[in-house]
Amino acid sequence: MKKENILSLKGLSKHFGGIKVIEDVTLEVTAGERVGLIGPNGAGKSTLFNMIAGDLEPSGGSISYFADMINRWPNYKRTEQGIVRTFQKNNLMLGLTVKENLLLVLQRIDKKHTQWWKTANKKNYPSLYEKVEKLLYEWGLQEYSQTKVQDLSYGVQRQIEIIMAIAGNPKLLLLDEPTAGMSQLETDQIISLINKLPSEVTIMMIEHDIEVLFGNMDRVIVLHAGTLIADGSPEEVRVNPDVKEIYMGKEEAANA
Amino acid sequence: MKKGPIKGTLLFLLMVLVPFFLSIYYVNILSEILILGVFAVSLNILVGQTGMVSLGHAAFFGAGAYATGLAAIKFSTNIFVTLGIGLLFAFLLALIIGLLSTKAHGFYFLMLTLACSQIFYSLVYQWTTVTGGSNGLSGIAPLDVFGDIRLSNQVFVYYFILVVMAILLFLLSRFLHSPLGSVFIGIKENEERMKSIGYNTALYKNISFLISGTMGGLAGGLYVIFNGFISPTDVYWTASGSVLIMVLIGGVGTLWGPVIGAAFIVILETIVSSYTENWMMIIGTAFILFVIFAPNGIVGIFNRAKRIVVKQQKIEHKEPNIIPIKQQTKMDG
Amino acid sequence: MSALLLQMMNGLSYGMLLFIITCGITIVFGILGVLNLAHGSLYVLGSYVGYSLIIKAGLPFWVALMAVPLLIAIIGLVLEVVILRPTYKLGHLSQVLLTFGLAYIFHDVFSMMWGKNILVVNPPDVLNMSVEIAGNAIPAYRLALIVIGIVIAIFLWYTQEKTKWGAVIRAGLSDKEMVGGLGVNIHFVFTCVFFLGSLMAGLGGVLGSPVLGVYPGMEFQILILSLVVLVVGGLGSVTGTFIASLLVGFVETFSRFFLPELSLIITFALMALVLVIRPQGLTGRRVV
Repeated sequence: MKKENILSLKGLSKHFGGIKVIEDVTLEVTAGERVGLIGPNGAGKSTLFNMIAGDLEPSGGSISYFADMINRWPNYKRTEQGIVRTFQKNNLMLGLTVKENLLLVLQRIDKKHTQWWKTANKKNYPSLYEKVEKLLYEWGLQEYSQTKVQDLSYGVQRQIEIIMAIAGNPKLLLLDEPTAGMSQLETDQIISLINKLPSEVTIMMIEHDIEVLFGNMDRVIVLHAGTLIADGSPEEVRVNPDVKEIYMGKEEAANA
Repeated sequence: MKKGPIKGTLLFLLMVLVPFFLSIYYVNILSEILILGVFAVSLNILVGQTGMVSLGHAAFFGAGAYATGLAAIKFSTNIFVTLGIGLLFAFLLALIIGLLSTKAHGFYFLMLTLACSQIFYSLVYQWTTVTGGSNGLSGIAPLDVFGDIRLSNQVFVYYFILVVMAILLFLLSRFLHSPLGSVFIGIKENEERMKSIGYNTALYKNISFLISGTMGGLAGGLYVIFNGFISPTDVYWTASGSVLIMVLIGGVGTLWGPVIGAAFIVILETIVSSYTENWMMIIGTAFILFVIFAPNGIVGIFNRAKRIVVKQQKIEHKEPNIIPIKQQTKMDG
Repeated sequence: MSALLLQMMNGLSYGMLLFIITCGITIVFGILGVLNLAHGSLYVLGSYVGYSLIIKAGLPFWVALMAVPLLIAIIGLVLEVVILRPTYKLGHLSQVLLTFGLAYIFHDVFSMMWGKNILVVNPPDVLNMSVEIAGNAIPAYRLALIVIGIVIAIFLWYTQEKTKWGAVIRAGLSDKEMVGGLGVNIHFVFTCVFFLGSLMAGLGGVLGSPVLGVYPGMEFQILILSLVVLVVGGLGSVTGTFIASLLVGFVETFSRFFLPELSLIITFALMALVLVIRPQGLTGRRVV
């Protein structure tokens, strides 16, 4: 049985002034796929994510999500409908506690976010608070629940960045270098938690660590100078001559 | 958790008793504090809760005051009808100004609110046939509450304002920490991320603006009932500046801060102006000292003092637990 | 036709005066990132001190024109070093509020020292006459204002575009960290900029008093006009300030002539319009 497409990009482009950051990218992602996105710096990976998430308007082409053309959807609507992203640089409510950050995500999922007549606490919103505590337990962050995010280390903030997205009930999860700047141990933890996500969640992940991508993704896409130069299983991409030249080639040269 | 409502109720009862012990002079001062307190509380929703610093809040005070005053002169002597008209007018003004200005951020938002309020000021100032122009709007007679209960003296007016303030603070104490309240705080903290986790922040900013503006109109309506008079100077942008000062001196983003700030300014003004005409100088100096030494306002000073006292009591037990965690987090980063 | 020409000259000279007043607040905002809400007060202080020197002490206008800006600049320098400098770490909003507090203090200082009447200074004798242009008598002082405004604009433009200091300032406008990277002491730059901004306020104060007079509460009117110009021109851009000053000058003058009852509204409507259509101001770059 053929699975339906969750995302299709047709001829997507983004120009800043005269600079073509993304040029004519066409791509289909089926529901439940795990797609890795690699490419040298400046290849346009984050720009592509920004357009899918609605933080940037494309210069041309179309973005479809399931059956809908979503070019004109604002970013918050895309999130409501299940396109949830993380950011390359931690982007959190720094002055709020970890728990408050997560509550902001969860209360919207539970449609409690327009209630103004009850104080938000465990007594008034038991199921909401149970969910937060469960989430914090799963990620081993209970001890930080009352800590302000700004007082946490970079690594913990990075985890919260990812939890914020996962808590948002994603159908399509866009992870922008989730393990950037983290130790090997922390990277392994995060990847194993990402792998534990339900199989119906579609994941697209930008990652510089090729081993992480090739080991955990079904499919790898290579962007170079704004165009798509390879798309296939990790094995296929690994042997693709173009990729070797522009991407692996450099590394081999560096290793030699 | 339960101390708050009890303290609030006690304070309310104390305030009820005030007219039995103090002269009408002090009662009037209290009324003024309460009115400006409502005004400051309303601005705090915008500045403290949603992080949008407005320098045009006097427009809503003026809208509420003029509309209430005109309604009292022309249509009705019932306080709820006239105040309702004042609120409606402030609401509509907030709708217009909000739609125009909430798209802008930071300094631009400040300037847009300032521009809009100055346009409103100019309208009030120039439209002499309706507003009385620079002479102000006077001749507002005492209003009826129910049947033949009339706010015929200043003590009744005080009680009316007190009840309004009590209801408002009760509602706000729930709102401030409610889920919707936390959405506003989230926008103050990081609007971009709030969008990315699925909030239509433009909508919430407009809601915040509407609540804030309408409440500002309520303050204006109460003021005109209390004072029987309103003039364009109360709508000028320096009035917007004063209320911003109250919020900041009291404590941004807290429930009681703006009220305390309003009380501080009114009391200071009353004391100082009996000695010298130059009270703006005193307010300015106090304000500068607060900005430098107590950026979290009077409530911030209280909290810090409380923490020091609590820490000294628990120092043997708590301190060793706290330090290692902090070191650990710093080492990671 | 002749009335129109007269209004044109009025608008032009008023616009130039606005430019002289506003370029100070622009430079300070552009480089320090601090919106100096006491700028109007420094202007008014300039007017008052000028009044005292010219009318009370009987000194010639030209002496006041030299001495007063320098004095105001020194006062500005002291304010920057004593009050603003220790607070750079508090963030821009705090500093804006600080200058607002200063404006309050100045307000009372003025009424204590100069009373509550409107004070007017006569233009210097040399310029206290009219010049005939196309059959119209134009006050020579207004023509002088236009010339001075142009000279200052050229001076600022030259400094900004052609000198090392200008390079530092332009770098500061686009990237504050870069200024530090250039090996320039950023605090020294800030102080100099504040000195210059205050100098311009003082100069405006002396030059403006024969036209606008000086009275209590004027600082808030001047300030708000400056803010309008600042916003319309695009924050921190000298060229934008120049264009916006002339625009606001013309709009104010003509609306007062044709629609006196709406003149107050039109200026602010102009600003609101600019902000809604071009939030970055007329010449500003879009700040993301």
